[in-house]
Parts: sequence; C-alpha cells; structure tokens
Amino acid sequence: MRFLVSLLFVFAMEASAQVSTGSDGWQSWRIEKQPGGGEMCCYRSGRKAGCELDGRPGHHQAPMAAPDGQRFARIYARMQDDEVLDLHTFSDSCPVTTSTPINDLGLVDNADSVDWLSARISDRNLDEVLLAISVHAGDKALSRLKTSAQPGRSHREREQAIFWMAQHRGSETRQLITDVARSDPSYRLREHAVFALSQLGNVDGIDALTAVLADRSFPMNSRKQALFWLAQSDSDDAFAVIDGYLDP
Amino acid sequence: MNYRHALLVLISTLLISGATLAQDGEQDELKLAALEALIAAPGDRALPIVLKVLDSDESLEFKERALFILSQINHPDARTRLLDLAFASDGPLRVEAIRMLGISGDYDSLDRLRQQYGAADDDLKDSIVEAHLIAGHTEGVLAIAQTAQNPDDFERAVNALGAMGAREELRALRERSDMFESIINALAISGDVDTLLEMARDDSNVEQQLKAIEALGIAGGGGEVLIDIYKNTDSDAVRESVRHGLLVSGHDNGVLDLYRAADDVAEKKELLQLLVMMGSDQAMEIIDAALTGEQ
Repeated sequence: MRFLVSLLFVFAMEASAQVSTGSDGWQSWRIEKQPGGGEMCCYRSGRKAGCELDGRPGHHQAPMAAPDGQRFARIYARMQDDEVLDLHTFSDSCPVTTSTPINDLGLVDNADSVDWLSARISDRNLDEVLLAISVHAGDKALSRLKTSAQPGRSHREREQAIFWMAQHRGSETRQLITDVARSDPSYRLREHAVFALSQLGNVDGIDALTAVLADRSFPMNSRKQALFWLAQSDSDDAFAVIDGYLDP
Repeated sequence: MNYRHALLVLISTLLISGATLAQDGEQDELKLAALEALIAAPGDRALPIVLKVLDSDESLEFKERALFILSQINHPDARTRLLDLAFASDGPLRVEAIRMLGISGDYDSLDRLRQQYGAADDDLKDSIVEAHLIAGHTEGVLAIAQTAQNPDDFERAVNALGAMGAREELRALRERSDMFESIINALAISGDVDTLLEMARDDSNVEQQLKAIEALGIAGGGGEVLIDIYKNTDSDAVRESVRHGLLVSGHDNGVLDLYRAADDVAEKKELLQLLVMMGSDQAMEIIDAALTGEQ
C-alpha cells in the first residue's frame, strides 16, 4: 500500500512539473507526443546514431521519420540569460550527447510547454519552435499552430506552421490547409499549401491533391501544383489521375 | 416576348459555349501540366504514360513536349524509344528526337546515331551535330570531322568544335592543311590564342599565317600579341593582317601606340584610318591636333 502511494506520488510529481529554465545551459523535458509520428532522431547511413547537440553547424543530421509508436518526445533547449540559443525536438528514445550536463526537468504538462515555447518564438528560432509545438499532443498545440498559420503572421511563420500542421496534425488541419491553397492572397503560400497537402500521408495526401485538381474553384496554379505533387508520389491512384488527364 | 425569349436563348447559348471553350482551354492547360509533371516522377511510373502520349493522336507540338520528358527518364526503354524515333527515316518527330538524345547527354546513343551521318541529308546532319554539341560530346564531333567525306561536313563539325571550346580536338585536326580556314575560325571561336599564335609565327604557309593573324583579333586577349607581331615584322601583308585583327579586337590603345611610333607617313595614315574605323576618341584628337597645326 505504501509502495502504491509512493508510486502515485511520483507520477503526480512528474505530471505537474513545469518548464523552469532558470539556469543557463542545456535544459530538457518530456512532453506527451502527438500520436502517429515517426521516431525523431539522427541517422547515419539510414541507421539511428544518436544526436550530438553541441556539434558544429551542419554536423547535426536531420531527424528522420521511422516507425515509432512512442508516447513521449523530448525537448532540448540551450539557455543563456533566459534566451533560447538552441532548440531540438527528438523522440524520447533518441540518445543525445552534449559537452555540458543536461538539466532534466522531467515530464512537463503539454499546455505549459506550448506556452513556454510560444513565448519564445523569434525569427531566429521560428522553424525549431513550430516543429517542437507540432509534436505536442493536445488542443493547445493545435490552436497555436493554427494561430501561426493565420493571415497577419509573417509569411515564413505561416509557411512553417502549415508545413508542420500537415506533418503532425494532418487530419485536423486538412481543411484549413486546403482553404489556404484555394484562396490565400499569397501565390507562394497557396503553392506551399498544396505542397503541404502532399505531405498528409500517402492516402490522405493523394485524396487531398486529387480534390484540389478536380475543383475549379481553386486557382489554376494550385491545380497544376497538385498535379506536380501527385507525380512525385509512388501511388497507383495518383498516376491513374495523371493518366486520366492525358488519356481522357 | 418572342424577341426577348430569342435573345435570352442566344445569350445563354453564348455563355454556355464560352464556358465550354474556357473549360476546353482549362483541360488543355491541365493536360500539359500533367505531362510536364511527369518530369519529376519515378521513371517506371512516367514511362508508360509518356509512351502512350507518343503513340496517340495528340498534336506534334504536344508530342515534342512528351519527347523532352522521355529524354529525362533514366530508363533503358526510354533511350530505345528515342533512338527508334531518331532512326525513323520519315518520322515527324525525328529531328526533335535527335535533339533530345543530345539533351539526354547519352553518349552511347549519340555514337549509334552517328552511324547515320554519312547517308543523312544536310538538315539531318545539322541535327546530329547539334545533338553532339548539346551533349558536349567532343569526341563524337571529332570523329565526324575525321571521317568527313566533303568540305561541308568537315566545316560543320569543326564549327561545332569551336563553339564547344574543344581546343585539343581542333589541334588534332590541324594536319588537314586544305581546311585551314575552317580550323583557324574555329580555333578563334574557341579562344585558343596559343595555337593561333603558333600558326601566326609559322611562315611556311603564308596564306595560313595571315589568316591566323587575323583570327587572333577574334580570339579574346589577342590584341597585345598582334601589336607584338606588327612591331617585329617587315612584311606589308603581315601588317595588313594585323590591322584587320586589331580592328576586330577593338584594341585601339595598341593601335594608338603604333601610330605614335610610326615614322612613315603612309603607315601613319593607315593606322589613323584604322583608329577612325574603330571609333576611337583618340583618333578625333589626333585629327583636331593636325588641323590646328595646319592653321
């Protein structure tokens, strides 16, 4: 009984932790990961090799998606005077090395983590922060991504938000991305939105692109983009659609 | 009432036919986009669709676009089909297929294509050489020059080598002294000042020497070399060729130096005329000074 109480206490302690990065150096915390994504780690020659967080610029290998199924992801933030110098997001299972110790903050509430990250978005770390937010499970992360995708935000922020929504929150944001592809005033963003639709995952992506292609309410350029991305796929359905345009 | 009804029918007919036309235009645009999208598609996916387009009743223009896509597909069947079209004696896509073999940069296909060269007409020969030029296949063009059966074939190949900057291959053809003009022109276009200078200093064939001197003016950077030749010769013919070369090179400062150094009145006159032809500002100043002196 005493063991059970202790266990519950430990879980409760862990779940109630907040992002508290008062000290300089590497801070890390776990968050509950949006289900479905692949394993985020560093790979060499297609094999998981772990990530060196202090490597020279360009030394890091891009995280790759591989079959995952894990419940948690981990955020790594290198802090100095409450400023984020570096930010990385990896699967919890991904080994990392650093030249200085990592201060482990444990499991952090997803909403708190999203708030912390949102408060630190800047032009310099836009890509990393939006990637990190997109990995978080829960409504708060989704809401934050949608906010970043809204008109009025910078082009780059919208572009990144749309991309990461398609990567990690595709089923919930397909309509929003489709609307951007249809009617956003920005030609470049419409093109980007069509590309993002192609990233929804094979079946959803082909379905979304085919819908854009067939719908005359979309600008012609978005429809042509849809054809381009369909041709990039390796899907029988996609090539049947293309064939249909060439051999009606 | 009948009139109004007829008008409405007419308007609706026009609107519908306009919409149909717009829809047709839209379909054509998407059809072309679908074809062009295949350029980035996996080869084994794109190939059967492109081959189907080539076998269809589509327009020649559309099929020419399909040929370009075919040339970009890295698949043996794509090469075979391009070669078949390039060998088809009266095929409407033949010339375009030959060009696409060049764009594909496939030297093996071009080597096979070259077997047709001897029996081809002039247009086809132009296409074959152009395909080699596009692919940068200098060895192939050299082979055409070396086996040329007539001066036109030789010149066609040599001109291509010049455009390709194939200096080594052009030097390999220098033994064809009967074709020195073509070779010198191509050397000039390739910018081979060293070889031209060597020929310009060789007085064993005066005609060739004079042509090489003139060509130095075409080859970039030949201006100073020409001045040097001018200063070190007593030959009027050589000096005349140098002046032609300088005119082309636009090296008016060098001509001005020669003018100032010349003692002979006739020579000064020649050089001043040259400066005027070159549009040199200095020529006007010299003329002004001469006129002022006379007054």
